[in-house]
Amino acid sequence: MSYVVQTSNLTKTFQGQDVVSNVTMNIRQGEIYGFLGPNGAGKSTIMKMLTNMIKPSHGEITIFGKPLKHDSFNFLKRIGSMIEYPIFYEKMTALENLELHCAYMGYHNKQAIRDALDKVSLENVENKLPKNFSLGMRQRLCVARAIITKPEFLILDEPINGLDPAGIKAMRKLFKMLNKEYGMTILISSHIIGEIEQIADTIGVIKNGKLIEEESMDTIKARNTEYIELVTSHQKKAAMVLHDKLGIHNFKVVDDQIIRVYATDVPQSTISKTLILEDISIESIDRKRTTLEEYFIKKVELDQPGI
Amino acid sequence: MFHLIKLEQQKNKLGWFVKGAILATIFILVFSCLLPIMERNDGQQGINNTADYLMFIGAFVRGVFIVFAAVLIAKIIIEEFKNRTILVMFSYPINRKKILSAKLILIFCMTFIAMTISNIIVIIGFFGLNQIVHLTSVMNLTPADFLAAIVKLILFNLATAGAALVPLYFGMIKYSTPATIVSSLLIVMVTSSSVGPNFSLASIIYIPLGLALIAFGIVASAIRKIDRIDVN
Repeated sequence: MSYVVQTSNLTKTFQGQDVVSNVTMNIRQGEIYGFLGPNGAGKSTIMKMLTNMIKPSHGEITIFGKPLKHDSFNFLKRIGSMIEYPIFYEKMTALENLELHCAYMGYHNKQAIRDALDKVSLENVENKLPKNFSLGMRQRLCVARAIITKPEFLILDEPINGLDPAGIKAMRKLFKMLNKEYGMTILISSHIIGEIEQIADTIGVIKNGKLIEEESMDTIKARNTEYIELVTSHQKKAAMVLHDKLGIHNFKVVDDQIIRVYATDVPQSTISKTLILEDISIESIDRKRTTLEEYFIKKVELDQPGI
Repeated sequence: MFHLIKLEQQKNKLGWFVKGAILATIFILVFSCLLPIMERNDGQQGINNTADYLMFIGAFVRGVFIVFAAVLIAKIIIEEFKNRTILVMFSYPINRKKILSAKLILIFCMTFIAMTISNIIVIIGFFGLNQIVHLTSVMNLTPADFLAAIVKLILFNLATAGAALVPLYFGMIKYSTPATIVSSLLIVMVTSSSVGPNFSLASIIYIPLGLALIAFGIVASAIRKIDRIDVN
């Protein structure tokens, strides 16, 4: 397995406080790595360390198989990034900003600029100043700049901030396309679980500067088993029947009315029939699956999806 | 490196500098022409000979362009940190030391060239006008004097363009444009001011030379440290 990024005990201390603490993460080549965490968890700091903007206080980073040193810069040729805010030279037009980017990257394919703008659906903006753009347009222009040179590794920090639902959908499609067609490895951060869930192959959850989970999406999905949710006003009696009559032990009393029955071979119809025969009124009984969102909220308190 | 300097020039759209330098040169020339008239009206004679006058013009031009250099430092370096566009710059596969050096070379060259051209224009303008309208009778400039003056002003201007980089130190402390400009005014005071009619700091080349050495230290330290700083 080849990795684009591997970090080992990565730590960054600002004014005596660990903003990032002992992070050991692995980003495989060709995957989309979703970086999930609330605002201020340390996502941007880690991304900045990966691009050498911020130097680690402790720990090591290996990028494209080579250790990152304080004066490394050649590796940046293989990276496209958008970290924190979309920053531009405000006195230059959108086109001039992109041309300047190409000049500094040593990339001389003029058509690539037009292609990148098309990919992010920005039309007729070439001669406009970015300072007159909405946040969504700036985000898109910034993504366009990051992908012009078709880098091997794309680092995108909250790229869907400020985009409308249609824009978010288009971006998601674009990231998947860049990943599939160009084989780009993508590290994408967000505090919106639903977004990451839809595109990531691996998820890293960060809280208070610590990586509390790094798992492949398949493993996470497999772990989130189905359950039967039972709503009844006779919750205690129902629990006794489940346990004594039906021999079900793996269930959870969620609140005064809700019981969740996990991993059982007993069919839903048998449960409802038995409960009714025991004179327990059932308001509803449904088969459900834990959403990824519930799973992560359990892991870390996150913002609710804002879209 | 030349490519990087050219890109810096493109990026910073330095047309204002050229316009500003032209306006400043015209202003200095007009002021230089008015000075003998004002002195004659006041009955004072602070500037007695050609050498005095050349020194006055040189000090005036250098003073103005030290401030121009500070504005360049603010626009090309400090604002890049303040506006955080340095995050974009440092995301390129280019040695940070080279990026900073390109900026400093551009500032030094623009300051030196503008200072020198302005100085020469003012000298030619003043003595040319003096031939026509006789602003003063105590001065005349032979071709040999003129050449000697050029050589001297080039030396002074080289040292002063170096000294003009000292404000980089003050500007970089908190990425402050006002600190950069204000500190340049201190450099102007030290390099271009006169104390009484017979003594002028502007005539001592060791002052700009010493400051240029200090600036060299500041620049070397900034370039050495640039790889280790966090850009946040």
